[in-house]
Amino acid sequence: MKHRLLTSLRKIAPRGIQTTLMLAFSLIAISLMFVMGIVMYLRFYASSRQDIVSSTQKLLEQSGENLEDYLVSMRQISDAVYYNVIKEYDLTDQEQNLQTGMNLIYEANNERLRGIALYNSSGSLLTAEPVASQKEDPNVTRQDWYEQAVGEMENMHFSTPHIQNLFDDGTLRYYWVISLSRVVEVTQDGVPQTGVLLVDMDYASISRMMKQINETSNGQYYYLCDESGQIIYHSRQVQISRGLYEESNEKVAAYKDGIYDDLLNGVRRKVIVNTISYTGWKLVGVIPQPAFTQGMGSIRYFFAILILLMAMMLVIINRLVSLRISRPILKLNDSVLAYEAGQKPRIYISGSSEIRHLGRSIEASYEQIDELMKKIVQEQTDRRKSELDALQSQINPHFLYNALDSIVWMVEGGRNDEAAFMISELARFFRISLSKGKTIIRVKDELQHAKSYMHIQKIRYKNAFSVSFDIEPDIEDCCTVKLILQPILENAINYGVGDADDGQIVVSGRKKGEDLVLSVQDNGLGMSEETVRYLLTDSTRVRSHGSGVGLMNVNQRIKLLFGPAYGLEIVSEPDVGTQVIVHLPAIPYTEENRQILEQGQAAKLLDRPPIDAAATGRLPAASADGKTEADGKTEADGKEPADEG
Amino acid sequence: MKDDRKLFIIIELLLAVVTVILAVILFEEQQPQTPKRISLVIQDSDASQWAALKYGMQMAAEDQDMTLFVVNTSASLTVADELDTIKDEISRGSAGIIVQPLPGSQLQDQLRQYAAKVPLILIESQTTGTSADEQTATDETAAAVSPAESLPVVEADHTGLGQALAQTILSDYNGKLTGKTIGLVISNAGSAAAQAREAGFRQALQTSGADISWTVAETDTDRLEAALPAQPQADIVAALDSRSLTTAGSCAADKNLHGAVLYGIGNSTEAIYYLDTGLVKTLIVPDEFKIGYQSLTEIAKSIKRLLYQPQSQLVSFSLLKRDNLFAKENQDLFYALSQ
Repeated sequence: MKHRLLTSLRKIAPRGIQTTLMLAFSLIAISLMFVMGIVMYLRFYASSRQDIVSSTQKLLEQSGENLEDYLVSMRQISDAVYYNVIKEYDLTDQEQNLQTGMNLIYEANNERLRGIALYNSSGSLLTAEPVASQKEDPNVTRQDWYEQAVGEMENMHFSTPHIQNLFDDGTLRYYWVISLSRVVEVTQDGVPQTGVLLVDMDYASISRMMKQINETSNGQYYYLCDESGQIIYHSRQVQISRGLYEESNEKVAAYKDGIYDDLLNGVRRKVIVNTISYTGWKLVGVIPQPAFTQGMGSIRYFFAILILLMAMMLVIINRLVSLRISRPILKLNDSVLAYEAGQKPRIYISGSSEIRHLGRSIEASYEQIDELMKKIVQEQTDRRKSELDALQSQINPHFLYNALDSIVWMVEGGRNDEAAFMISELARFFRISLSKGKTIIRVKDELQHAKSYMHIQKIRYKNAFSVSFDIEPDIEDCCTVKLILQPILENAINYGVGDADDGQIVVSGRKKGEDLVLSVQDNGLGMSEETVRYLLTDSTRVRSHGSGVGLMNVNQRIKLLFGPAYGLEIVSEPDVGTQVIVHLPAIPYTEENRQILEQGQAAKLLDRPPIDAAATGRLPAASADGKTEADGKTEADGKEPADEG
Repeated sequence: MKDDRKLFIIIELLLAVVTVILAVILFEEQQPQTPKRISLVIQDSDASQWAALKYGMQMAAEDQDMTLFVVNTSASLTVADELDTIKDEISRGSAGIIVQPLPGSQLQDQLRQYAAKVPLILIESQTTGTSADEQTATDETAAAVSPAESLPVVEADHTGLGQALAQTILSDYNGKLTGKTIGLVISNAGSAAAQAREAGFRQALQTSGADISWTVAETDTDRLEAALPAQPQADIVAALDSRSLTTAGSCAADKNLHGAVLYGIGNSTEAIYYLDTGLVKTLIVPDEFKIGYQSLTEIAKSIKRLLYQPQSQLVSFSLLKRDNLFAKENQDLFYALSQ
């Protein structure tokens, strides 16, 4: 599985240097930006979070101070009623003054007050402002504010919000108040008595104050509870009382001032607590986790867009950079590829110093290779020439020896005319053999050479065989390698008709398509199929009379000059005879063609692959007998005399 | 080289497409989101009996990020007016409608059609098959449509309310109601809610020996106020809804109820006041805040979630007597009613 995955990854991995560079740069840059983006976002988030907490804390402190001021003012009202009114007047004979005093204070603060009432120790109403009818049996002594006042006489007590149920003003309405109660000393008939002073603060004042700071829309909110956790103000207090919403007010009531982490119904929250002095009330700010992230969505998208735009820019820049880096390499690579494809472009040398150095090195290497190639070709050509010369040189000594031997024999036998004819034929023979050092001659000359040779041989063999020439006149002006028919005829005589009484050799020549076909056919002993198969290919085989070396020599020379498509073809059947067919291209003999052929560039004339290319093994080279040129070359290397004659 | 260019173009295109998508989302987020409007159609929208209901809806609207729009209606709102109002509200772009269905035969089908357009929920009562104008006050056979066919409704357990009121009377009289006469006061008698309350009340008193000597059913407050003093003297008067209770309370204050002991179901500060002043012996208060809160929450859910169907809900009620009226546990009841 892992292996397969790696294989798949390798398959899709970029191959080009430019793609690799661009991808690598882009990946690194985008990764860095991504990390930077996340770090920046987290930093921004932490900073924003800190800001929210700080601003909430400040708002909480400010609101706490406002609330304290409000409560202090209420206490001051209570003090004013007590010290400036109740203590000043005797309730028995100065009730009107007391009422007026209370009325003045109430009217001065009526926006914040619902009422001021004074009760005696048994809970009976002594006086109240505004004047309203007291409800029937309100049972004051059992009310919380009264019990608190009596319970701790030295203090003032703030109740939690409740419905004021003491007076009936006839409006059929009920008011929410927070009661400030304290035990006071009331003078009645000159006798100080204990009473309870009640100042009912309008809950709406506190409610308004709290509503003002609860107007944020990001989910954070503030509430007020007393020291036991009982809610004084909460924007959802009805929902809380009906179980539609939960609040951790009871837990928070135990907290000291500070910032706390809280978890409520799976929602993490920051809870900031600020205690209101004297009352012990807790002003609590709650920042649910979603409040921190509210508005962060836009910032997140903004960051993402910023990163994407930068990524797009970076990809463009990376592409330009990678192009700049890779272009010289790619151009160098292109020129090398073109060179490998056989063209001869200038090797690209530009770009950075390293690339330039590399280009120069490659160019120098290719120049060196070219020179070496030329040298090799020249060497090959020279070698071929020397081989040809060597092969040609193998012919003459044998024949000369034999011819001279025959002439000697004729002169000794007094056959001077024959000797003279033979000498003249021999002279013609050698004139053509020499051909002024040319290798390529006319077919006509080659045929003349063959005829001279046969004349000599016929004299030598006392006309033991007959020879006829059947040549199409058209081919006489075509090019041929010199001295190719003589070895074939020599072999035909030696191994075919030399010892026969009615030996017959037919030399024919005709044009077959674009080719020239010369044939030497005898009715001699013939050869087995196996002998024929190895006659032109295997010079190492043991031959009974050294036969075949001359043929192989001819075959090699033809192939060297005209190419592997040409050469000899041998058809033989034991006791029937042998036909040696010479395949040559039909190239008209001109001086120019001759020079081209002698330079080993027959391909130029043949519209076929060059000989040197075939010789170096680059191109397939099938010989006439179905063997490769390489085979032929191996045989050529094994040099043997053409004839043992 | 070509592959490289292709890769480059693909990467750039991909990044561009993602950037455009994010930009569109950002642009959408930057647009000020106007909270969706939910319209409330109730009879006599300014009546004090709706204070807790409206406060509950207001709280739910804040929690659900919706805007509550209370359509201004009078006590004389008819079924046709109600349907026109709903139609107008839908055409004005209300995303949801909360309706107190008035008694009327054609209401059910029409509401169903509107409910196909926008989420719609009923409060206080299910729809009935008979118009109040066509309905006699004592007609007990007019039944509410079966719940399977009805639209979702958030309401009090009306039968339970009627039964609780009767049980309270029984309890106060130690179960001895033989020979006692009872008068019933109902406004909106054609509504399924009134019918269920009356049925529950009558059922609970069936074996008590009490004689329900008269029933006053008037939709018009003035006519109701005029009708009550004209009724024969009864030992007990039971008002089955807030409007009838405040009317009866007012008559009692004016001593026009011939000394009858008044019991009732109500949810206004006036009803509380009459209990506080002793004019009402026992008051049963349905949790209107919860009706408002839950109905708006349900409709908001339906607006926000495509496949959500608003669910019917029954809410509880409280039993108040004069001596526990200002108890701590009832303070929040006051808070909602006094908004």
